[in-house]
Amino acid sequence: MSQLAAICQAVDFVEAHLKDEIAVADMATAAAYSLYHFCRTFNSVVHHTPYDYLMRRRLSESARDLVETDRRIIDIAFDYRFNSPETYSRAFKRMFGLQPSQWKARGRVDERFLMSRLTLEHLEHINKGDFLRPVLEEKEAFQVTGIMTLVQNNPAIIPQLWEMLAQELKGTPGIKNYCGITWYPRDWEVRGVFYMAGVETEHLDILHSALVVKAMPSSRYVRFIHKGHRDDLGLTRDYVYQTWLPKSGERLARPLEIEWYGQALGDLDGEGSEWKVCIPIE
Amino acid sequence: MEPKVIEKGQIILVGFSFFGDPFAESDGWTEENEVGRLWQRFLAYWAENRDRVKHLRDDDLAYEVHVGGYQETGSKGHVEVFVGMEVTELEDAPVQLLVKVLPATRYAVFTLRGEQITSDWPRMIYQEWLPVAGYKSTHDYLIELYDQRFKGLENLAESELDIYVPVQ
Repeated sequence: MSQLAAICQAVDFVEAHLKDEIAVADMATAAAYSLYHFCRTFNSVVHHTPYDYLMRRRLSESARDLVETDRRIIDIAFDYRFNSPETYSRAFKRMFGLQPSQWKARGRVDERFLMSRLTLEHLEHINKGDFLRPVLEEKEAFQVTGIMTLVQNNPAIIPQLWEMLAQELKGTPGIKNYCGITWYPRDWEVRGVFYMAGVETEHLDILHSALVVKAMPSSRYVRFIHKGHRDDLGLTRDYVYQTWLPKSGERLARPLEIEWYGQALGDLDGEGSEWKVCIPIE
Repeated sequence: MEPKVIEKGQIILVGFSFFGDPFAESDGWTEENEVGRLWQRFLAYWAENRDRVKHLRDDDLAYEVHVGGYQETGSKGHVEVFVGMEVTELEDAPVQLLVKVLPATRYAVFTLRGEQITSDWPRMIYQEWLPVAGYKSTHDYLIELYDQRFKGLENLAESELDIYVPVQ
């Protein structure tokens, strides 16, 4: 059995036992590895320790239960095998920055920051090469010209947006850099996200088109290379928000992501395609 | 991988130790982990201070001892890793050094060669060899004994490493 498949068995074992008294040693047994070799392999494949992953999965599902069920906080704490409400609160706050009671009162589940149930696709994605290696960079203020729309349960609108942009820009000289920007407004889980298909521009004559201009402030960014279909962007996103961000200790500066496509849009859905994904950090 | 079974007296080690998940900080991009860092820290200290340790048994024998059996071992995967040198008797060890005393016991000694060194050999030993050979693990530790035959992880193919597992 491959290393990824073995780790996947341990991950599946965790999912089946989120509310049971399980230990890292049981995860190792599920993978058919010795405990020591399991810890080494799990870390190198998943980029979390097995214990950290187990706790993050429990806390994430408990965070969902806090909002989506009427169970009391103390019952949820015991459901997920925390010894006391205090232990639970401390761990919860460390992961989400809020007390369980504050999270419950807020009443929203921001999926970006919940630890996803990892799948074989996640593990393959993380281990495709070193493309997920993060790079920190500063970027000066810049302008993006393009079209923005609200994306709810209609992600197919995004390719349409790019087609419209291409039509509007037909024959326009001086195009430097195509970029797609996703904004997460408050309550985006319910309202949807804004997506802008655009180009980075300095002086573009857009008086006669339907395009709008968005000014982006200077900021620090962390940059990842996304490799694969655009449909797999969620895998990169999960890694960035759920693994890199907590491990790096960096903080998200604004709730947006930028996909940089370079000079030409090319084939975004090809297996071999790759582009940059950046999020602004403080 | 046929072991030889030997009897050994008490072993007194002086060295440094780490407790936790040795791979917690490794993010998949580097090979660096807490065991590597522990060795670096110990060897730097040892280079400067070896003369302060009396009754050194063999300058070319370096021990890496993995100790489990803590409450956190099963639940979190935390172990103690101790690296150090053997002394025949303890006298005036510098305060920076920890002392580890391993009991007199019988050991199954396995020699790992090349790629075996980075394989899941603990599983082969504990799940496969011990039950088949009719031995029982008697203590929650094992020893990796490094000598001249170990040429470094970058020369794994030419390297050999002895593993001592306490058995009965």
